Amino acid sequence: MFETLPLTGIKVVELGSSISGPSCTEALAFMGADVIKVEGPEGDATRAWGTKLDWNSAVGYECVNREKRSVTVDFGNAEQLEMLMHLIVSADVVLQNFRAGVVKKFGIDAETVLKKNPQLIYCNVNAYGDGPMSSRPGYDPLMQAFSGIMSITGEAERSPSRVGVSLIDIGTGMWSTIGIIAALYRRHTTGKGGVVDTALLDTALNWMKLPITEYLASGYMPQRMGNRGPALVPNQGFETADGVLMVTAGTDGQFKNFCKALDRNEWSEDERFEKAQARNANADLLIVEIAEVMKTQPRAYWIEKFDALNIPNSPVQTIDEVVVHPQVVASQMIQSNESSPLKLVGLPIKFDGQRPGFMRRPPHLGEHNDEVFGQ
Amino acid sequence: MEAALPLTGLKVVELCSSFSGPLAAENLAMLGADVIKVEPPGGDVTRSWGPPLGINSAAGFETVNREKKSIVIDFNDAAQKQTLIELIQNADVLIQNLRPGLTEALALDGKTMCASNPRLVYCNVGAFGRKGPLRNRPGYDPLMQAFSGIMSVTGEESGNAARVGVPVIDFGTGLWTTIGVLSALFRRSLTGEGCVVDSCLFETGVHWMKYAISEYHAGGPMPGRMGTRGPAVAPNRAYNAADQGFMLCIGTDNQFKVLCEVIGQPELADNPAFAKNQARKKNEHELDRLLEAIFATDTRDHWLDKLEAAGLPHAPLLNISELLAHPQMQASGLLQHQQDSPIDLIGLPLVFNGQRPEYRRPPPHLNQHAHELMEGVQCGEQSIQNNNRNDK
Repeated sequence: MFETLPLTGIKVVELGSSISGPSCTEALAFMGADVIKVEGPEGDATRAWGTKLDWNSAVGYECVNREKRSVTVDFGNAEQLEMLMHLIVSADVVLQNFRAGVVKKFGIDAETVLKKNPQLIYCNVNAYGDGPMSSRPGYDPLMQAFSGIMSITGEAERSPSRVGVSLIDIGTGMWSTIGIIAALYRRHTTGKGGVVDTALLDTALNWMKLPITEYLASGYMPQRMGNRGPALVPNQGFETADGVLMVTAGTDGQFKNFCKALDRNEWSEDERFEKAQARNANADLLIVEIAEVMKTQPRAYWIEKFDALNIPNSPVQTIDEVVVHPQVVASQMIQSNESSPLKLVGLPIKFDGQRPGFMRRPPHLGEHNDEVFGQ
Repeated sequence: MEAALPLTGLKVVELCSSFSGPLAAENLAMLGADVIKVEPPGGDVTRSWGPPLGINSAAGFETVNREKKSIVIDFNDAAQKQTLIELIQNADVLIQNLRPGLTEALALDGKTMCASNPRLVYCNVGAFGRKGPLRNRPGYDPLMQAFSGIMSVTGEESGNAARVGVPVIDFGTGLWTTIGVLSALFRRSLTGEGCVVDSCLFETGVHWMKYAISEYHAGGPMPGRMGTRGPAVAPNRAYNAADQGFMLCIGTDNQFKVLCEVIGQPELADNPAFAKNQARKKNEHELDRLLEAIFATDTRDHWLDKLEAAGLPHAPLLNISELLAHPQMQASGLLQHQQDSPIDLIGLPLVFNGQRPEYRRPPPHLNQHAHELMEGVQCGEQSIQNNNRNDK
């Protein structure tokens, strides 16, 4: 194991709000970086997002601001702006996700600060990036709509659905993390910093790379398929007597075992279903037949049968089921810290078998002003 | 630009199939690393995912295997396995997503490989991870979406749970793997020591749910399916115009006032049932009925023009062909062309010093680089480097 976390000693200044920028710097902080979160006097907007907590915070703030320190800076105050500039110039990494043009207005844009510290890595988290929509603000749901993600999410006969997790915001945070660490790695060899740009739209398009490639290869436009997965049959959810169970039995061997579990051995010798391609061609017929059988028994009955025959399956779990599942408990992904009233989700990465710990709760607004700026 | 790619000179061996591991290795390749993809004699399964492309490949393979070289290794052949071990001993990074226990059985596991090459960053991309009752199970993106609760919050309120239409688990795991490898490499540049990095599909799923899980722990409401509706503010959902749908996302009371003018109902902004966000949120179904009736009277383009002119946050609900034709998409330069590639492919959503890494090398044909790489192994690493230079 590392004696220290991989990014120990790296100083990061976050000029961010909302989810995308802060989730990037949180990942850097998890891995050992010293992150100073700079907030306006009012605090990050997420301090009012979701269930309110009684220390000028809310769930939206708590879940992307672990392991950081917080200082407040009034950008309209010349003296405070000067102190911020000192902080920025002495850092290894600066990240900003303000509206287009704001950092330039305050003289803390990449070009200006890189002149003062050429070793700095400066990351702009943009909304649409360059192009006709460059000045527009970005919102996760709007980007899901724009990028086509919603057009392929939801049930076939119903309207498009928004993905229930913030895959654009948090995804952009992940890409920013990748860009920053890659630039730090290069800096070690060249001694030079540089500018990293990410954008919500670019992240959205990257999520769409498989359907876009399929479309460009064959003209096929993927459709909404409800709980069905692509390519294989069966690869979807079925109603049992007491809830939905997802089953993926796509290989011919898995399908044979699946027929056994359903007590329908004859299907695996039926030429309409025996081979994967035949099952695809006769999917509608086969799915109706399977649904008839699956609904006769409860979920636990099928899980036991399928597990015994190594047939991949999973219940469609709700959050209360997820957090108490023995696998979730064993993973120790949900972490505690004695000074944090909330348990929070950790980093999905281990180094030499160890997950970075929960060391510092999300900071109160301006909690570290004195420590960082001095008295 | 090429010389400036951050990972130029780095050697990566990929022992992966499907999407998660190959995506991570592709990210490293796009960042400049020299990636050797090791395939079984039949090739990566994704070579048959989607309609055949006539080059023993399909869209599934092409999507996540740019900028790599391919070599076939039969693990059961002692000489070929020895070749692989030599490749790994000369590598900086190894990424593997073979089924649980296989690398140990083959003595190609992290502990063994790092013992003979202490600078190696060895990355396991797992399904459920190394602990817990499900640790030996394989992982599949749709099943992990179900297991982690993502499906329970996706779909229409009155409908069934829906799968996210893009592989958030597989690709998300590829991103976390990339992050873990890069951090370990950064550390190595200071300490000289490699390490073992573990990521897995299941943990990625739990991480996607971090907000919902925190809400649950805070005693807030259990998030459910909300169709196109977003949380916290109203109106924030899709509406149908006379022809097609669009999203509207009104975050402030002032934006709502402007919206009321756009739809020709300025008096709505003074109605106490709608004037403030909390009131709108409480009465959102009533507000929806009013807006639905108004938006249905004209086309999507009509409303988008008006919303654009008024500076209100909105977006069309695009499908893939509409997206690809959109001027913003074209301006992004994200869809990249390479003369030998049968299809244009999506590039890296990262720009370094104003430049996006280019599309240099199309996804390899199966075993395309065997000759070049075998020669490299026999003659030592120098000739692999020479080959790279010749390619560029």
